[in-house]
This record gives sequence, structure tokens and C-alpha cells, in this order.
Amino acid sequence: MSGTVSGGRHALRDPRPEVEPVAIGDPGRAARAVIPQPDRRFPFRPAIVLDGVRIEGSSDAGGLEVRAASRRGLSHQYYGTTRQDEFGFLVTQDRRWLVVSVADGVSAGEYSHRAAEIVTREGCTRIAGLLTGVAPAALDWNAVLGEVSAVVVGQVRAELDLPGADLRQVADRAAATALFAVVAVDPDDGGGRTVHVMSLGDTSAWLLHSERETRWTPLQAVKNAGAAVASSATAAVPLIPRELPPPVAARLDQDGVLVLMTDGVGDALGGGTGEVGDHLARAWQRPPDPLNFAAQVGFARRSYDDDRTVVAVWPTPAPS
Amino acid sequence: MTQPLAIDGAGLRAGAELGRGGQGRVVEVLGGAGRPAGEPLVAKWYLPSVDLDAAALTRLVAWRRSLADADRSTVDDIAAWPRAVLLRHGRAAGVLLPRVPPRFSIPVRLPSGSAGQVLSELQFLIAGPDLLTRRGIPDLDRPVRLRVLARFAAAVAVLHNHGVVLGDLSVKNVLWSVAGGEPAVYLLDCDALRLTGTNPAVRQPNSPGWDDPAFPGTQNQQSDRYKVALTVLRVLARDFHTRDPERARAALGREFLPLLRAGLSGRPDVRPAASAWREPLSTLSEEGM
Amino acid sequence: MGEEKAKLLPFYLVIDVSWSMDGPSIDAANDIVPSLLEALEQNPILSDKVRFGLVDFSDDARVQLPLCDLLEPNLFVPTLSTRGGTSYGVAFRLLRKQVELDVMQLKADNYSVHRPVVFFLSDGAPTDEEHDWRSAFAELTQYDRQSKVGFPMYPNVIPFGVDNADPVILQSLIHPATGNKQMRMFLMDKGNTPAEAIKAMAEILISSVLSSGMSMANGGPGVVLPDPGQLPAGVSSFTADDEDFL
Repeated sequence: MSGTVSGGRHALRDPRPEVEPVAIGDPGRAARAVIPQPDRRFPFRPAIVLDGVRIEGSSDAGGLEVRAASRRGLSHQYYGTTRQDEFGFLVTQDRRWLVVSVADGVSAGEYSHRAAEIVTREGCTRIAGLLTGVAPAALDWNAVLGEVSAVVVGQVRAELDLPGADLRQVADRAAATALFAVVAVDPDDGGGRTVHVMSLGDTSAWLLHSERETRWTPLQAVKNAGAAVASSATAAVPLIPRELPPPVAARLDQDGVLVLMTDGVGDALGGGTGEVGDHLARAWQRPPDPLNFAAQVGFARRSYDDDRTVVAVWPTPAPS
Repeated sequence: MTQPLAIDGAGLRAGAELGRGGQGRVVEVLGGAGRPAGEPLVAKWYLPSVDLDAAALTRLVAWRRSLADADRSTVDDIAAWPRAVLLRHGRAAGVLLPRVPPRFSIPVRLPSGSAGQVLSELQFLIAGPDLLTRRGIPDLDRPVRLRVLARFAAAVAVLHNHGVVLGDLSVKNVLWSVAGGEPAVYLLDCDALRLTGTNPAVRQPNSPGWDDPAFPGTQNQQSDRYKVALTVLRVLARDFHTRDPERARAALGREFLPLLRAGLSGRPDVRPAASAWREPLSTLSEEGM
Repeated sequence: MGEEKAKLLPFYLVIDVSWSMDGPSIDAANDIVPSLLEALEQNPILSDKVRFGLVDFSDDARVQLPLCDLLEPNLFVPTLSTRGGTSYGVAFRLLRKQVELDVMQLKADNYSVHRPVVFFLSDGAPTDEEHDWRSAFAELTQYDRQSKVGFPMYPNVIPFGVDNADPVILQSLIHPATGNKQMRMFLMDKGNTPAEAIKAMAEILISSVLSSGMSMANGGPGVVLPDPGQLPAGVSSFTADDEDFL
């Protein structure tokens, strides 16, 4: 590469639209009254992170468009505590697979955002490494989650100077849900893609079809369905259950969107049949500008003040 | 000057007693201090035995005043919405309501044989021709009936869009009128309505035969939707008791019968919104003419 | 399944208004709700979620403030006055009915509702028959997860005792009494005045509403009571198996 700068592809774009705050239903008092306070313990951890990329497919096939946003919730803004959600994604060396992850740090742990960072980064890296040797359907999720948990334990012991802390003591300080999805960059002969999802805890994966009657299809059971009063227990790394929930395989069609989210969005979405589901389905018919995507993820709705994280993956049409 | 949300009932000049029921009595208001001017009003005084939630009643009064002028005028056209809380010895004991507009009364022959006026309740659209003839009440043809139902669904839709739950919706607390061209409806007992997520001022059990099997102990917008469907069915079938959507097959046709079936479904989430009835009912009424 | 409009946290304050509460005690009790309201005004995160109801009881029980958003405009906070004996049974029965109505209605309106919390403040022993109030309390609090027999919306109950309240009886009203969601009770220390103790309990109640709300909002374990070492002067807290107040 002597002397040359390798560049990416470029295209004419629409000018950036103005970003407006989004409200769905009653926005509540907090959305207008909360003044965000910094978390003095973690000054370099931003309240909002976002990304927007296109993953190019091989020459004649389509690729994927990715939008991701993670935002500190109103509650953490009010109490001056850091964002505990995280996302991560990467493309395998061979450019065949996109690996996506979303994690929600368990509130009770002061360092749970570290667990969420480790889950998304280490998790994606390890899965991408394994995919050089096996197909997504054959991934050893126990190994992935076990290794990720080991990194969380090691890091927390080192960073907090707690060399003797056992698993439970580590988990009390740093724990996070873990959601991973593997998507093929190129469509298969049928024009779609198989998606493989592993979810530990209440972070959720969905297929969104804006044009169909059933727009939101969950790729796991919906939380609290049928309970008399709401409860909030959840499984999390590094305390992984002896028996993992089974991985889910689903089909991402050319007109579908794969959406991964933490419960900050998932709780408000419910089963996806209400006004939150309607609003987001309309907003995400096509990949929005990343800034707008972050605004949509941060919609105001009374009492929904948890951190919000969404990664959405759109198949891009094959060049005609 | 801002109109107070609650006024002392002692300052009102009471006229004739207009009605008496299980919850209390309604008297005409002839005048008096503090009342909103410019419209005929009645005072409803609750019986001491009625469990009245003063906060909820105040909420209803304040809610109407918080509406934009155009919205408030729309609500006033379709509902006897509370105007002010009435205090007796400093405690909430009644409510000031608009007087029902004259077009929602009809002249009848009373069972005694003498002439009188009754409120034109929706139940007269269900009653059979024999009873109507006996009482001297006009029997509407099906297109007009459908137009009244379309107005009714539209009225419920307006309130639902504002987050109101009607609760005890039955054919006795909905009035209709075809005087002066376009049909109109008017909802009574609005002191028992509530805003979603809040309590009603007075708990009103479902009228007999108007319960929603999916919500035996409570009422919400989904049970309202069921009752809208039940009203459509019973008015079209002219049967006070039926819950069988097939009875409206002739009136609704193959195209709209599924709407009724969905409305009466035991699964609340599939019931169509009240607004979904407007177009079909209007369309059918035009076809029938 | 659809979606929910908001996640709500219901709290009920139940106050004994027997004659013995007359004077400074009832005045102090009447200050609780305004103080809570002020605290909620400062915290929009919680005021979006907290629903509060006020019940008083004597020979009969009355809902003085039906479960509501305390910051709702035009809300009139009633002033309680004393009126008779101390029937625990009527209070528990009214609560059972009211909690069920409130939770059912909010759920029917598509709200997500957390397990309610009841603060029960009394200054004397019950004047009704023990078997009667005991069975009313059981109907309010007992639920069997396996057989689904009982009251699934049962509240957490936190008793507050002042003056001549019977510590042993109040202790038996702590619910749940055991387990990882165990509640506590708060008693006036000997030598304190009931009015001062009620003021201290107002502080405990408010701090508990604020920290429970924050905990539940963050997926925490639920009701958070102040640390026994951090209580305002003149009151102490006990669990269902403490014996040191005897």
C-alpha cells in the first residue's frame, strides 16, 4: 500500500435530516424534567453511542445495513449513574458472517457496564473466531458463554483488586445479559438468510416486517406474559445456568429486519402489537440516518426510563 | 375569570326534580352563583350510600376544560360531560351536568294512555314494532338505524382517542335523534366514565346482559369495543339478548360480518376499534337506500 | 399480547383513626401525604410510576384517597379525623377489595403493575375479635404459588406501631415474614411521643418509597427499607423473628 490511501465506497446521500426528540404515547414527566447528571466514577464512558455501516456483500449479491444505538436511560441520567447497556458487532475475516451482540448490565452491580462491554466485544470476537471452523448452527454456545464469563471474572478481579472474589461476589459487582446473532452477509439461493440467535437473560431478538400483518415476531418468549404482577428476575453472565436456553434459528427475508434490543426498549414494545410497535415499525421500514435512529431508540414514554440499546440489520437489495 | 372546578351546591337555585335512580336524584338548575353560564344545566346529587371518588370527579371536570376548544365542542356535542363538582358542606356530593338537548327526547303515549316525553334511548332501536306502535315511537328503517349506529361508533371512537373508558356502555345510556336531518347520538351518565389508568368517580357495574365475558370484574377500552359490537348486533337483530353474530348476517352481509365476529371475540386484542365501524356502517346505510 | 402503557408501583398508607390518635398524632399523620407529595415533586423518575392510596380505619374503613398519581393537578388531599375504635379486620377487608379492584383495573388498562406495598400505622391493639382480623389478614396476604389458591396480588405489609400498639400483634402483620423479600416493622421507642414517632415514620415511609421505587425501576429485588442503623431517632425496626422489644 505504499503511498496510496485505500478508500471505501461512496455514494451521494440525502442531506442529514433534522433530529427531533421522539415521544410515543404519554411521554411522562421525567422526559422533560430530568437534567442529566454525569457519573463521576466513569467520566470517559459516553451516555450515547451510535453507529451506522453497510456491510458489502460479495460482488453480485446484496449486503447488510446496520444501525446501532445505545443510550443511557432517564433513570441513570437522573441518578448520575453510567449507561450499563452495550452493543457490538463485527464481520468475520472471510466476510461471510456478521456477528451482532447486545448486552444489558444488571443494575445492582456497580461495574455491570464492564460485564456488558466484555460480553459484546469478547463474545463477538470469539464467535467470529469459531466461525472460521464451524457453521453458525454448530456453534458451541456453552464454550462462548463460558469463556466470556471467565473474562468477566478475570477482569473484575483485576480491575477491582479482588483477587479472591468468587463467582457470586464477582456477579454481585458486574453481570450482564448476553444476546448474540449471526447473520450471513450474502443471501442464500432462496434470497434470504438464516439467522442464529442465542439469548441469555431478557435481552430480545425480533424479526420486523413493516409490510406484513404481524410486524414483530419475537425470537424468544415474551417477558411477564400471563403473570399476575410484574417480576424482573433475569439470567446473566457470569452466572450462566447449567442448561442454556436453546439457540433459535430463524429466516431473515429480503423484506425483513433483524432487531436486537435490551429490555429498555423490549419492555415498552411488549408483544409489538401496540403503538410502540407501530411507531418503530414505521420508523424502521428503511435504515434511517444513524442520528435519527438514536433518537428513535430514545423515544420518551412514561415510566420507561431504563437504558436503551438496539442493533437493527437490514438486508440491502442486490444491485440490479 | 377561571371557573372553579367545584362549586357549593347551596348557591344553586333548584328547579323541578327530573329523575331519581339508584345513585341519586337529578334536579333542574334554574340559576345560582358560580355555575358556568350559557347553557341549561342539571344537578345530580348522589345518595350518601354511593361511594364517590371526589378526585376522579374533579379529574373529569378538569379534563374537559383542558381540551382545545374544537375538541371540547366535539365532546360536548356527543356526551353529557360533567361541568363542575358540587359540594355539600364542603364535601363532594354531586355533579353539575348539561341538560340533555331537546332533540334527544321524543313524544310518546305513556302506558297510562296519556301523552308524555321520554329520552330517546338506543333501546328503542332494538324494541320490536309492536311495542313501538303501542308507545307511538317511530320505527326507523334499516338505513337510518345504520346511520345512527355509525354516529354511535364515531362518538365512542372520539372518546377512545382521548383515552376515555366508557365502562358501563348499554343501550339505556345512549340517546339518538334523527330530528333535523343527520342522525345524532348523545351519551348519558358521563360522571361514571373514566380516563385510562385512573379510577371512575362512581363504580358502575355492567348493565344486566351487557357484561363482557373477557373482563368479568373490570371495564376498559377493550370491553367498550365488545359493547359497541354488541350494540350493533342487537340493534340490527332487534333482539335484546342475543350475542350470536350470525343474527346480523343479513344486515351486515358477508363483507362486514367478520368485523362483528371480531368485535364479539373472547380475545380482546382482536376486537376492532370503535372507529373501525364508522365506514362499514355508513357504507351499508347508503347501499340500503 | 400487546404492550403496556407504563410500569406502576402502587403504595397504600393505612392509618388508624381511633379516638386515641386524636390531637398531635392525627396532625402528624395528616402531614405524611403532603411530605410524600413534596418528595415526589423532586423526583420525576418516581413520580411517573408511583401510585398512592390512603385508607383510614376505625370501626369502619374508608378509602380517603383512591389510588392515584399524587402529582395530578387539582388533587385534593383529604384531612383525616378520628372517629372510634380500632378494627383491624375492616381495614384488611377493605384493602383486599381495593387492591384487587385497583390492580385489575390498571392491568385491564394495559399497565404493568408491581406488587403493592402497604404501610399500616396503628397506635393501639385491635378492638375487634382476633379470629376475625386474623382471617381477614390471611385473605389479604396468603397465596400459594403452586395451587394458585389465595390472593395473587397480595401486598407487602410494613407495620408501623406507636403509643399503645401491641408489638407482638404488629409483628405478626409483617408480610412476607420470611424469605429473601422479608419485610420489617417499625416501632416507637419507649419515652418518645407518638407524634414525634409518626414524623419519624413519615421519613421512613418516604425514603422507602423513593428507594423501593428506584430499586424496582432498576430491576432490583423490590421493597427497600431503610437500614436499621440509619433510622431517625425515636423509632426502631424489627423483623418477624426479633424478640428484643419484649
